Amino acid sequence: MNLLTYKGDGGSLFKLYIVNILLSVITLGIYYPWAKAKLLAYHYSETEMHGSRFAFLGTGKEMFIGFLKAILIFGVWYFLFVYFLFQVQSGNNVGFHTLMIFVMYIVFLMIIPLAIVGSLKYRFSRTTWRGIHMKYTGTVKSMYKVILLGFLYTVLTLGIYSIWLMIDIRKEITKNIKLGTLEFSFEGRGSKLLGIFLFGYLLSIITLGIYSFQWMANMHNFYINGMRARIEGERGDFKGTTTGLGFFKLLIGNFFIVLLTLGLGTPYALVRSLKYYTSSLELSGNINFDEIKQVEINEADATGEGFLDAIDLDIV
Amino acid sequence: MFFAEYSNGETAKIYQVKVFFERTHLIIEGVGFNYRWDYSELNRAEKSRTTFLIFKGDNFPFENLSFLNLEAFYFLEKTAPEICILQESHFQFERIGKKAYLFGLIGIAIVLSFLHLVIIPFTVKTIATNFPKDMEAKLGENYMGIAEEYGVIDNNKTKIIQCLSGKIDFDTEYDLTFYVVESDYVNAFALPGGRIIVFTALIDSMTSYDQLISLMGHEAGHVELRHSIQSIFREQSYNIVLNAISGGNSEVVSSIIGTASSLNTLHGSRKHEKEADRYALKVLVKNNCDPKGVVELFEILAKGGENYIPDILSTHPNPKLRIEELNAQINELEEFIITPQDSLQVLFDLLKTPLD
Repeated sequence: MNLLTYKGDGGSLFKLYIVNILLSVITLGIYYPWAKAKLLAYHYSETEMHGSRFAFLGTGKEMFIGFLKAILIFGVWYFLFVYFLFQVQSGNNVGFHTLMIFVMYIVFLMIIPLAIVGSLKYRFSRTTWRGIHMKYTGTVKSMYKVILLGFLYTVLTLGIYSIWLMIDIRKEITKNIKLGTLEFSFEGRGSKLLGIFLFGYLLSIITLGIYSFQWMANMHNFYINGMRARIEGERGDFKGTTTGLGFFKLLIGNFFIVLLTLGLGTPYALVRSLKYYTSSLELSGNINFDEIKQVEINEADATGEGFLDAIDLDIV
Repeated sequence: MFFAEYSNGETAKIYQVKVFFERTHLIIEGVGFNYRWDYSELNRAEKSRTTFLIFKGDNFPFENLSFLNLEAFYFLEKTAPEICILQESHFQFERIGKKAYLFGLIGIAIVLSFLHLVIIPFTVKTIATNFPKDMEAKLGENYMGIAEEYGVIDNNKTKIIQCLSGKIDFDTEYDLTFYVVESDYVNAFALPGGRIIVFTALIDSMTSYDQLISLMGHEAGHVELRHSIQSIFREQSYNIVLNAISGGNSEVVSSIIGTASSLNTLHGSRKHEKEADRYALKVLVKNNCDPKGVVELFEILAKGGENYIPDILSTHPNPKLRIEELNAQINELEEFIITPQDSLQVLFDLLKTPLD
């Protein structure tokens, strides 16, 4: 059974873009967090699950404050980084200042998981469906553990473990997403992903890239097929039904839409993608969505969201 | 009366209900229950293209009503506009209708054009004028690498051209340093801070010192008018402004502004070239050289092609138009004296002689 339906359309999204851009331009960019909130609210409210729409209740004000906090912290980091760099170039105590640049890089790498977890917490805490809120229960600590260990193994196995690292990160994120009492998990296996990866890689080379669309579909479906939903002893299995032909039509179509309209058609291309991804997602099993119950909410602010903007990393 | 789906915020179960909007409150009528919600208790409303959601209360769990069409929204908008998020800019746009979006699109274009054509050039000019000269010189020093990519500096000829430049009044406070670089490209360029590079192939194609002084005057014009600095800051400003205003919508904005930007850059550098041409003419007149030298110079350049110009100088005007324009300017000159100068002729001849 199809789980999600995306009901947005290019025309209305295009209008939203126009207003967002106009207000961003007039306010010299200050409107950006509000524009982003409006855009998220649009996509959520046009996404339907079992006949009911999602809603994004985050506000531009929250995101603005989050962005300011992130910019402040990031600004201090940037100032220090440039300062140490300047000292090294001027030849002052080169050893010490090079070490400090190294430290600043480590700090930067540590900000990324912090930003990802922060953003997930914030976005899910503002997402609701039939009045039931979603939440992300993972901690920064557990994310660090996954990433640091995975990184270490990746180095030790000369990169082979990176496939399992992707799985580990997905497991960590998925198991911490909740919609009320509905819980999720990811059970995909690294060996299978490795197989899909190697097979796709080889065949794409042999077929001069033609197979790459099927490869994309296989990867996408793998990530979806590994997902499970559970509530009170009942289990549902997700199924991804994208195909190579589907990806081919989607990507080639989008390419021409964006190219021929000199970019003005971007919202239309985005809507096509979202419609394709949602229409190729199924859930089987005995999950009764009416039985989902509300659980306590955990507060989250938008600093992580702001960080992602500050370092220009987009997860959605 | 409107049909809606009600959920109580405790579970995801939905109940089919009838909703009646009154002046200060609404009534929800379901099977076996009746609720009254004062509008003041409502937290927010979310509207999609075809659905309308109302949330009650300040925090989770939200009781909520979901309408499967927008009729209820329009009715409520009339009954109690203050409860909804109707004051939002996006809803205001929607109320004005399609025209609003058209005007919005035009508005974006106007604001961007204004930034593009007025604000940025003004800012760039201000920065360029106040840019510290020592930093400019340092910048030029860094760019010297470009000259070396084209060929080896000819030290003897560099000394000669430097000696020749000492006899010319370029009307500038910059310390101009000329370099002759061995290269087959028929070209020359100026770096920020006063370094000017001339290629041997260009000198070899010249037939009079008037032409050489036109070239030196032209490049001195680029230096005096700080064209390189302006170009560098112009590029940077567009990037900064683009990033600042576009945010998450960067693809769309950048495609709108992208075409205009490249046209503007071309326009800007052509403007710089024309300014430098005029400067060259001024230098010729001031030093009693033949103004026709500048016309001859561009005839040589037109023949030699200008395909290998470094980015910082970028595109030049059409040579034919340029020559026509210069001829017109020469005709407009009120008075000028041409005095043959032996010292310049000797140095020019030396420059053209192969030296070991």
